[in-house]
Amino acid sequence: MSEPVIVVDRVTKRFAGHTAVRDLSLAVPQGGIFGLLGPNGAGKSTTIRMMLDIIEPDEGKISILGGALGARDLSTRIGFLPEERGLYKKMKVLDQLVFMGEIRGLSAGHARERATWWLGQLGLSAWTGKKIEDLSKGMQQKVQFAGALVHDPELLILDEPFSGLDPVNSQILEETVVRLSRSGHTVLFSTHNMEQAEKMCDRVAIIARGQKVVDGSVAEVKAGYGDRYVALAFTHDRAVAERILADHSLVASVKDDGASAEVELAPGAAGEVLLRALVQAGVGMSRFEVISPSLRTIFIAKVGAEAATAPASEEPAHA
Amino acid sequence: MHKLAAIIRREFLARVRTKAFLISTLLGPIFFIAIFALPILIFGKGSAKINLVVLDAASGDLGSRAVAAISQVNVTKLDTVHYVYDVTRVVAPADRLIAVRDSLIKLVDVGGNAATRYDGILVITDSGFQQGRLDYLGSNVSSMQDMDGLERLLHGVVLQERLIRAGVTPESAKLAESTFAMNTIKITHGALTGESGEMAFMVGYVMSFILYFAILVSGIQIMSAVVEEKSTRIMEVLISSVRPFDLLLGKVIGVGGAVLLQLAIWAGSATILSVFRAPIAGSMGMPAPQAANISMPTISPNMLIILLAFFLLGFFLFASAYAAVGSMCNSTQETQQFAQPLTVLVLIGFFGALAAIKHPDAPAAQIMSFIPFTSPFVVPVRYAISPLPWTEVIGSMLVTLAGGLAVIWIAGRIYRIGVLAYGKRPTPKEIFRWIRAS
Repeated sequence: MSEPVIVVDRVTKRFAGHTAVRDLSLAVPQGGIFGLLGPNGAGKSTTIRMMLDIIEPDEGKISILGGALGARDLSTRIGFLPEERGLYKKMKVLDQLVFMGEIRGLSAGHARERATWWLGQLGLSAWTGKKIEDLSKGMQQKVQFAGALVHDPELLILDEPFSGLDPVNSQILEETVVRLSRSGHTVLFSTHNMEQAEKMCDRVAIIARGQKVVDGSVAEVKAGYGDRYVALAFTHDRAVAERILADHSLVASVKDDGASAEVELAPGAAGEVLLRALVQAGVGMSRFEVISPSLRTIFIAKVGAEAATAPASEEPAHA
Repeated sequence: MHKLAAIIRREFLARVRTKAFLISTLLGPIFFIAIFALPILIFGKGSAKINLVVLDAASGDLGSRAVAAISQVNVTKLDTVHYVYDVTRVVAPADRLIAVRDSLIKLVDVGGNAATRYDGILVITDSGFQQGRLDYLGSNVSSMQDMDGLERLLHGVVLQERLIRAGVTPESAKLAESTFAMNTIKITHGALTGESGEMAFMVGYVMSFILYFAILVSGIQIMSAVVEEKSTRIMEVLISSVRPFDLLLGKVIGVGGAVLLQLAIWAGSATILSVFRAPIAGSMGMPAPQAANISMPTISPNMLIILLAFFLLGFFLFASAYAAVGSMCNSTQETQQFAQPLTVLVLIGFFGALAAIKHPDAPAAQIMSFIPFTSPFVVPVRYAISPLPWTEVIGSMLVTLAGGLAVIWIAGRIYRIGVLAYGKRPTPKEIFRWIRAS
């Protein structure tokens, strides 16, 4: 594997009253899609802002694209979609993208060409001459997304790129990200949506309360959990299954999703024993599958359900 | 440089392309034309006609001479107001004077037609002439303009009459009464400048007023341009690709450029107006010789350079300071509060310039020439009154320029941290720490 594109080395960032990121180390390899996962307030955006030289770490250091230069000096090679979306409301869509291209090193003419192409790609051609304020929120988000890509950066850093989008638009952006990664771009995006990350990412790092919980390729992260999980989907007699799933000699924990469930087997228990018990009790099932656990399940198993939703903080929460 | 240019262009176009800019730019020249044309339209065309009764109870030719002098008058006053007197002479013996006067009084300010209505009665008597006192009774006695004009007119008549009675020929008497004026021409460093002292001073004064106005107008725009970004959160994208120094410099130049463009358009239209003032005034009915007499200031090239240089420097310096204030604030309301100290600074500079007019070489004026925030106001005015050595002028320019760059640099520091510290207002201690932070 070649040199990592981003190296975060024992970085800590404190704000008044709390530590947003604590002793965090990450390496983002070249190529592929890297997911930075964690609940709201885990320190994802703070980490991304530090990567981009918007704020500075209190301790540790970050190197990006292998150099000693800060992200600002390399901004022609980096595309960035901030979490807090912001565009000049009174500016026209195309002018806005040309401007974003120019401050990232493109000539005005080249920026116009690229911006027009991206607007076409994202289905916004009809809106080129409209002012930003006349666009819907979803469209504004796509414009901003195009703004991160207009200068064809080799590294893309996207903070919560899919949040707030309808499924159709989310799908368009997801496909774009995947296509860019295929063509050799490195993509890092943050999300609190574990399912989405699991679907798209080659590698992930999960952080909670400003600290890293686990990182590696998705396969590596899951490997430690082997065949300990079973996915179930019920057709009838869901209530009867309840009793069996409560048997601690068989089942360690259940993630109950109503008509389906993800079950962690008890230590020493085998999957077929559980299957037999359920069939004998007359529970109707359309699915019984020994699976690798989902990232969400792993995350909850690692940090506990309470930490999975708590923001990064030094201080205990006040009532 | 490429990024800076992009930011300047964006800020400039964002302002110039608005309807508000277009409207205010067009309104400027219309306003100038109105200022120039209104007095002509009001007074110029028909001129101010005064219907006068001269009640002549004096012996000799005094009364008839006064009537002749007043009737011939075709005075142009204040460049635009044009007086014409319509005189009716009523001769009365001294013993009937009061009775005739009282019956005339009943005719003054009576009747609806302004063209024929009597405005007043000038009473000419021998005793009055000897005492150096003539009575005027009229409806327009509270018009200083009217009284001033009439008094000046009579002054000439009385002067001539006195000389004639002293044995001087009427021709010589007329000559004695003719006016003369002192023409002032300024000398700078041993050379004639071609400008009049009064005009140079006026121009310096007017320029500091324009500077004052331009600073206050564009300062608010620059502050809101900075705050706008903080409220739309676009600066995360900006600041990850552009140095805060470049960002603020770009804003100051871009927004400033828009304001200066507007001023230039106004100045240009005012210049065109003044060049073509005679035909324009003529087209409005003002007689040609009068229109040609409308005077306009002339200033030397040196003075012009200094005026423009300090205007730009002062503008740049204050605009930067407003950008710094904007970078501390989170809302437009907040900027108004934070900007007050700056407004005070502008006022100090402006009043410093007024004080320097009276005492251009006082130590205070000299010191203010080397303080960045006051120098743009004070130096041009001082130079206009008595030329400063070039070393002093250039030194002052450098101090002002350095001040402006330092302020932008500080503003960049504050911005860098201030933009991301949304939601809470910084304390002075925090601001100081931001400036020092690497």
